[in-house]
Amino acid sequence: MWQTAVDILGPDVARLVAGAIGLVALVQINTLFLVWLERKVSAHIQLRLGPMEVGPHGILQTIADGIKLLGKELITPRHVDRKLYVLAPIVVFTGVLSCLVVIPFSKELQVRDLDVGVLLIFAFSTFNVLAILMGGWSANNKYSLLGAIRSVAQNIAYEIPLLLVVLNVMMWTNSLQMSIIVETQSTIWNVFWMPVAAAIYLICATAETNRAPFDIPEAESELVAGFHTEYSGMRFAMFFLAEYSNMFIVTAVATTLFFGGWKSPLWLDFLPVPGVVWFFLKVYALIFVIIWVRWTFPRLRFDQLMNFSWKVMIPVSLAHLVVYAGIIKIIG
Amino acid sequence: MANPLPESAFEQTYYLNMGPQHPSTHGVLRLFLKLDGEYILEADPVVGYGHRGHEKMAESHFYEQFLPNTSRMDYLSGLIYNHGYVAAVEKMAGIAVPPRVEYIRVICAELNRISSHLLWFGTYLLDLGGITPFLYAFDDREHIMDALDRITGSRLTYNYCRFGGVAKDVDPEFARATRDFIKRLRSRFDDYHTLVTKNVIFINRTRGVGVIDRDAALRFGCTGPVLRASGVPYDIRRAEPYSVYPALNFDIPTGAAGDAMDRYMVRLREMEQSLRIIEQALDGLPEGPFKGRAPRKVRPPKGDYYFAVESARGALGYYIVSDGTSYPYRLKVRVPSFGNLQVLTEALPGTLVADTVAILGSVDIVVPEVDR
Amino acid sequence: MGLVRDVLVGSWSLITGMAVTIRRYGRRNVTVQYPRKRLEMSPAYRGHIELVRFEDSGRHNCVACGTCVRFCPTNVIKVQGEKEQARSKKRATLYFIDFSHCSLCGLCVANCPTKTLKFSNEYELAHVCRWEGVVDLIRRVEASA
Repeated sequence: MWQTAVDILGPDVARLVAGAIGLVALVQINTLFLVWLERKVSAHIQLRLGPMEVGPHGILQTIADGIKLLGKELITPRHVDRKLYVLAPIVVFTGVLSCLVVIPFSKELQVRDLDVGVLLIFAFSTFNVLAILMGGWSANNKYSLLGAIRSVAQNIAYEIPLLLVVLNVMMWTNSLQMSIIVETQSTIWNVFWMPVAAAIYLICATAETNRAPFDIPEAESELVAGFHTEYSGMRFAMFFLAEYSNMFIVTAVATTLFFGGWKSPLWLDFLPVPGVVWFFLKVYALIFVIIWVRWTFPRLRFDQLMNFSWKVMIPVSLAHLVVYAGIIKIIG
Repeated sequence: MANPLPESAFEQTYYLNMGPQHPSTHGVLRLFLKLDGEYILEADPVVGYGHRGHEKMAESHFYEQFLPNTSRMDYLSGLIYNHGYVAAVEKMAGIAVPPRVEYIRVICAELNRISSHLLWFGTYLLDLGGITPFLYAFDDREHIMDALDRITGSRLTYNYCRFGGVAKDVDPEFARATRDFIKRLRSRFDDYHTLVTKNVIFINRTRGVGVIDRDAALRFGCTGPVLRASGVPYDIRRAEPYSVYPALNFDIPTGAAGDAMDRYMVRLREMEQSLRIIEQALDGLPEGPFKGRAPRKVRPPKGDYYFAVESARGALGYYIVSDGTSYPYRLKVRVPSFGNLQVLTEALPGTLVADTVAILGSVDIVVPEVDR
Repeated sequence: MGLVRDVLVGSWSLITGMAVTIRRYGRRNVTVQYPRKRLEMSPAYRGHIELVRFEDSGRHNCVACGTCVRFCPTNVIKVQGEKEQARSKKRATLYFIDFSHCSLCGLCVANCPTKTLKFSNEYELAHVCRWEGVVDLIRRVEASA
């Protein structure tokens, strides 16, 4: 079947189509798994059990929730800006899928190995910001707008240190291509000799995905109910899906840049485990850490959040850049 | 209240209603805020959404029949409310109380204080966004409630004290469970300090936030941890001693700055002091009857009487006017949350709206007791 | 230098906080999956009132004096009785308590002259109709034979 597809479409397009189908499937299954994982991890941290009824240990709980969301009525309030209101969930989903195209799941499993892979990811992840602003604005509700504006400000503020630390990796590998970045980590993973960069990356990634302790825009905040108040049913589910897929993307990028991608740890090389499995193990370990952080700390107040980014994160990452530029010059 | 419409078309300020239905106002409290951007200019608490008419009910019930009402006014300090009422009536009618009963009442009151402060701790962190300590605090509370369930029969609305005694005697099983709980909570405090008190995010949310200075606290009639955190070491258990508190050793924790962090630390240290009190009371528990002699229907002599106890939130007073029958003529409850709530009109202006929840939570208001 | 120290101290506090939560991760959970498992109530638990069946007579001892009716703050008790023979004490034939309004104060139990009332251990009393909260105690005590 694969051969007939290649014959009809040509190898490039066939790969793209297969990849698109695979990525959409990945997004759905990942969300299914992550919602369950979050509920179970949070429950165990809080000394309780989590979902146990639907399926053994609640594995099928997300499917039940998804069916419920599918069955809800898509209410469009009267005074919303209709075009933007409908477009916002679609935009956010598009950004997610586009980012996933360049992620190297293993040596061969990469839909498109662009030589500007990292740049593409950071460009398309700002679709998230755009979609949030569209959602908040179109809802015609001053509290939604306030939540959306805060989210945009937070996202922009935390993208700067994110890019600055990713620059360190770029300096070392001399390339933006994702597969080459993974290849340069065959001897030692980047995290071991730039741990501060990895830490800063993970903090900024948590802020980018609007997760606690940076979740003012979306949690049951003191005043506003967030930019997705006016959404119900499947449209809300799209935002939800996009959030969990965003989590997957930022941890996948962290794995590729700092944790060796699909490569196994050196002392475990002899195990006949395919690269894909290592990749997913690392990604889900990082996601576990993100979930763990969410359920431990209280929320930062919004001005403290912005101060933290502008007054702490950016100076630290700038200093880090200068120091590591010197180190890389000396070593390489 | 002033006319809430803006005075001119170019008015920069706007009005926001943190309405009676709100996840963080601990009851049906309505805060009417006048805002300039993010800063609060005026704050006006509107109460009365939960008024149930307890004091009116007292006028048409016997003194005994009012006992269940006392637990329900502030459901978090049910036993302390019970204790205050029963002690007030005993003072009026001259009913003698056996010493064992006094010790039992003190143990139960201090357990109740710890339980109330644990719940406050959990809900305060819930308001700030950290959901996990809430469940840890409730896990600890379960042990208190199980211990109290064994002797009183209830977990929340205790109704345990009777005129001249208590409803049921305390058995050694209760003493053993309480000692286990004391040991367990002492080991838990380390966890709480590591997870919350030393956490940099929590410190930034509470230090310097919602400063209530000593003068404002005294003017508005605040009592309890709010007053003690502002530097005034006033505690009814030491200022107007009752029951066996004069014989027990404990300190009154105070704070210096009067901000939310100080109130938090005062309450945590009060929990530790309560553990000390319970230990001493358990060690010194005398043998004896658990019920004194009291008439079936209490008929106090004419006059008015006041009795104050220290509840988890501050000074709780019962003012009873009797006209010689078995129905009180007037029963007024002086609740601590009323003064603590009013001080917000001075503490909130000048702060950010995002801090409202942090300040409101740190003052620990239970709206059902404000409204009664 | 102060900023660096603050950042380091702050980060360390965050890491130790995370250690606390993860230590609780593997512990036994404290919830009970009701209704698959049920908890035992303590013997002193205050469920709704029920009549005591005395061992020597095998019957309850309510004489329908009405003390509980008068002492109840919310007036939820309704008792009727008749004399079994002339010059004997009355015996209750009807004893209803509207549990949906009962506040479990225990005044009826404490003041009963024949000590024929006690608390039961019932807590599963959710119902759909308001009148299902009215419990017929005579039938209950006879059914517990």
